[in-house]
Amino acid sequence: MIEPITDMDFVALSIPAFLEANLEWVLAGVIVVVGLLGFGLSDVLRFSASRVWAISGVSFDESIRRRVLWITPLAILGVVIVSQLQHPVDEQDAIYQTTKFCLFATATLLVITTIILACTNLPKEIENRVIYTIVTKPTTRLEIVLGKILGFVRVSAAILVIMGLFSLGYLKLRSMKLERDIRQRLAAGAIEQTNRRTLEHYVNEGLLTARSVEHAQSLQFFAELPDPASDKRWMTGGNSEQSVMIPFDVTDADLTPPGEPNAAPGAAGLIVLARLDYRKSTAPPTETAPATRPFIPSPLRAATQPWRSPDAMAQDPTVQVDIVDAHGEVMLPAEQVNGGHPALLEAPNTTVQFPIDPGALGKISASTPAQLKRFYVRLTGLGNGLEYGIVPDSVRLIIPPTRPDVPPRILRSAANPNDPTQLLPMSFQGRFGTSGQQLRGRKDGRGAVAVYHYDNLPVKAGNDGRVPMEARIAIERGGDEDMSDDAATRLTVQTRNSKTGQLGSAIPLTPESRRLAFFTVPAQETEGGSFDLVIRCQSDGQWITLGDQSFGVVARQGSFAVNLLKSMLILWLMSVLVITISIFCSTFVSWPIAIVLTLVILLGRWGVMQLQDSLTSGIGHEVVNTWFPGSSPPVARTISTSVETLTRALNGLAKVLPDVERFPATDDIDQGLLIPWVRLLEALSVIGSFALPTAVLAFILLKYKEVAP
Amino acid sequence: MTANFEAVQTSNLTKVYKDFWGRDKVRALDGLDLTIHPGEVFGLLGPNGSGKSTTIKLLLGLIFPSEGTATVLGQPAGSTSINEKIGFLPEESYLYKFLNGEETLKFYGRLFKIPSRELKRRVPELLDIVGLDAKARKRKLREYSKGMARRIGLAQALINNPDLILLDEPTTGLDPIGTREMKDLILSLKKQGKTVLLCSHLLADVQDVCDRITILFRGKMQTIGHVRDLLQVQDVTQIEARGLNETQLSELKEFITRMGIDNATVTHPTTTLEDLFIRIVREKSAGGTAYTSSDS
Repeated sequence: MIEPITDMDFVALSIPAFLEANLEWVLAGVIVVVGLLGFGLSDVLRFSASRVWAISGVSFDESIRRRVLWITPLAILGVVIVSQLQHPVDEQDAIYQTTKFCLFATATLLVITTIILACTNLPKEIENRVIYTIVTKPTTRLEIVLGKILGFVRVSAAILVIMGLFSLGYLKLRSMKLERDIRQRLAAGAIEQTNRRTLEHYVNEGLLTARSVEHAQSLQFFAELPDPASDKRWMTGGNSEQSVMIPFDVTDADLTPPGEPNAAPGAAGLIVLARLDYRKSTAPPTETAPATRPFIPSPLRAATQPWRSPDAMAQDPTVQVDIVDAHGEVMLPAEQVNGGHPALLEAPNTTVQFPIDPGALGKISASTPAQLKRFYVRLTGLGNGLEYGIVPDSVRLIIPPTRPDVPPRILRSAANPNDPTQLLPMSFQGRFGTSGQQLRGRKDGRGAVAVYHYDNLPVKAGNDGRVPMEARIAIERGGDEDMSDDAATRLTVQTRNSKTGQLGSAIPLTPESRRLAFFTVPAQETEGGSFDLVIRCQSDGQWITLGDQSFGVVARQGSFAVNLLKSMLILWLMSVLVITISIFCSTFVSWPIAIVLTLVILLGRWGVMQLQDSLTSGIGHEVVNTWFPGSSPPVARTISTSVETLTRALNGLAKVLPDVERFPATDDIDQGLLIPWVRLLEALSVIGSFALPTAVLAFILLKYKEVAP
Repeated sequence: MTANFEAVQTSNLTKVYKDFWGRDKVRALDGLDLTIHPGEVFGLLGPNGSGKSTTIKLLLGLIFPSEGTATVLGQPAGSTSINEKIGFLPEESYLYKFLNGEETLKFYGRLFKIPSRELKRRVPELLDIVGLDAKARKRKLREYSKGMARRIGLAQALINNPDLILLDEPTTGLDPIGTREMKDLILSLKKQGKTVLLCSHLLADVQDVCDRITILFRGKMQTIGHVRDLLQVQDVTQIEARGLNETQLSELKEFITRMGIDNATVTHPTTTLEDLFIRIVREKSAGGTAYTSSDS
């Protein structure tokens, strides 16, 4: 008899998953608890903060009296020189670049100084035997380790105070000078029209900004603005300008032929069944567009069809299917679906089939080893001058049986995990360019639209009753386009409130490529925080490229000084990590080796991440094939196994090394963005999960070290 | 200091230094059994490499024994808590060279959690005791002479008013006056009931101040006992008298010969060189006349 599942079974099952998900915290906890309670309980019980402070004071005094701080003027000089040699796009960019130089110089100075100080201190005290007079006092080794760490942390704080004050002062001076220049240029009137609004914004808001920008939940591209009263959505056909992705969640069992549970998944193939509408577009047919990805070949007709010219065929209501993953990477190209042929819609509202043969389907199964496979069926309308309509739940997968007496299995698209009675929404995309999805321009404003959807956004209007927004887009033009001012790319931005459904007035924009453009919308249009931002390009022959974060709502303005302080705090936390690792290394190796080892520990995880593509399963075979072709099977096996083992070891090691990318001191501030407090918490978590256990390990090593060899 | 336990007690204390591969390299100390009683000045003698410093390092927990045990003031050697009652002067003054004399003592005082008010009183007092003047107190230790460094080293060893003081070559680098002051200080510490473990290869120093001594050689204890007992030559008798003239001296020699003792010698006793030096310097300092051998 099978025993019923108990709560304990769930606990037993969940423990390994918990350990795996929180490996670094579990390891840290074990080291701290075992180290402090198992090895150093007596030291913990005798712990004295005043002794730690006294030891830290000596380390601090030693560094200061050795004139460590004298290196800061060199860094300052370097920043001043480099910032004078920069080539910024505009005044705001100059401030951003200078901010980056200041922080980079500070971080470099901090890391080098603290590594050298902390790595050399303990070995030198042991070498010159000063440690004799410390350990023969009632100081525990725990107090010595913490005292040393605290001492150098105080040194790093002193460096940061100097560099922070310099950075703030220098940036203030520089921004004042640049703002004065802008005012003079505006007053002189020698400004391009496309620039004026941006420069006025710089003067009004200042160049030293710290703002938080909220981005949309989704970005979708349609042939026309979706009608809230209808669930049908239209996408532009021709030259892969737009497509729709429908998510599917399937298991291997779902893919096995019905009635044959022991068969391999996908053994009988699969059929994509789609019901689609189409209509003539009011827009002119698509001309040759800038570089696209992925490349979709010209439509092909089945050999049984009578011959027609390519131009004629290009205007047929044909559709093609490929299978992609969540990132849009192609898992199964269109060439392997339906024998490489697009399907022809014989009439509007027609159902078409796309058979996928068993061999091709096996690739999807193998490339998604997870139990529940998520992939997307992507439908692309190929007919030039046509628009294709689709409603939810109009695409299904059919798993055909191998026997006539068994009905086929029909799979619906993925259910919403929050509400399994609902399907996940379809996703409408534009064609991918080099830096986002492309939107074609049309002068009469009736072309395709991009829609950013914001949901429950805490919108805060300014004193003028308008909500500040900003955009940074890329502009792509055809080679024969006029590059003069007259051909400046014009956009319109329009809001549609999700609650009222009301469309706001169109706001014109003439942005420059890849530069921030600023605009505001009336607060009532964004009331409730849920709204769409509808983007249209109104310049014929021009394409704009939009990313998920190309348009943002300025949610909050903050103080630049506070932002800089946050950045410095992140650097300070990083120095705590660097110092702790340095002290740890110096407890068991000489100081030159300690410096190297510290750098390896600090950069190890980052290095492995850089090699991530190489360090995957199967690298062993690749190495054999590339470097040792023709090796005998035993040799090839040995090489392959060795490389695989090394790869696993490196990946395993990287998991327990600190993640220095969680100290992003420059990530936001160099774009004028507010650094969220969560960044400091993330940095603090590295201190908790790595620096703390490392300090405990240093204490244990020092406790059992003979300091008078 | 309570005397319920010995100041220092070791049993089969052994230290073997090993090489990188863990193989025995040097047996620095070999089965030392030693007891130092509370309140005595104990001398640890031996030539270089005999195991004196190794013994002190083991007692302080700077290194760990390969075999055997050691207790200090009743607790295992190296125990942090017992360091509250220990003062240690290493063979050279291993102190922070960038601090001045006062800062040095304040730093070590803080390690003993001595309140600031108490430190303000004790630091100048100790600097007076070790003979560092006001100017020297404000100078960085890197500017100190060897003698001054020994003095500040001694002051830091006494900052906590310890019950047990370990002095490793305390007179190294000191001039004769400094040496004498050091020895006087040791005797004064003894008078206060403190235990002093003196480690030196300067025999005269040890002889002058120690109650008991042990001689180590090649890591092993060769002898142990009271200085007086160890130095006494049992089969020789010495008679001392002051102010004998030549006639009385001749009669004394004849008397000894009459008693049938042929190999007796009658000479004037000599002082130690240290005593002679100190007397000369002190007399010169007091404005006295130059001292010559004919003066005696």
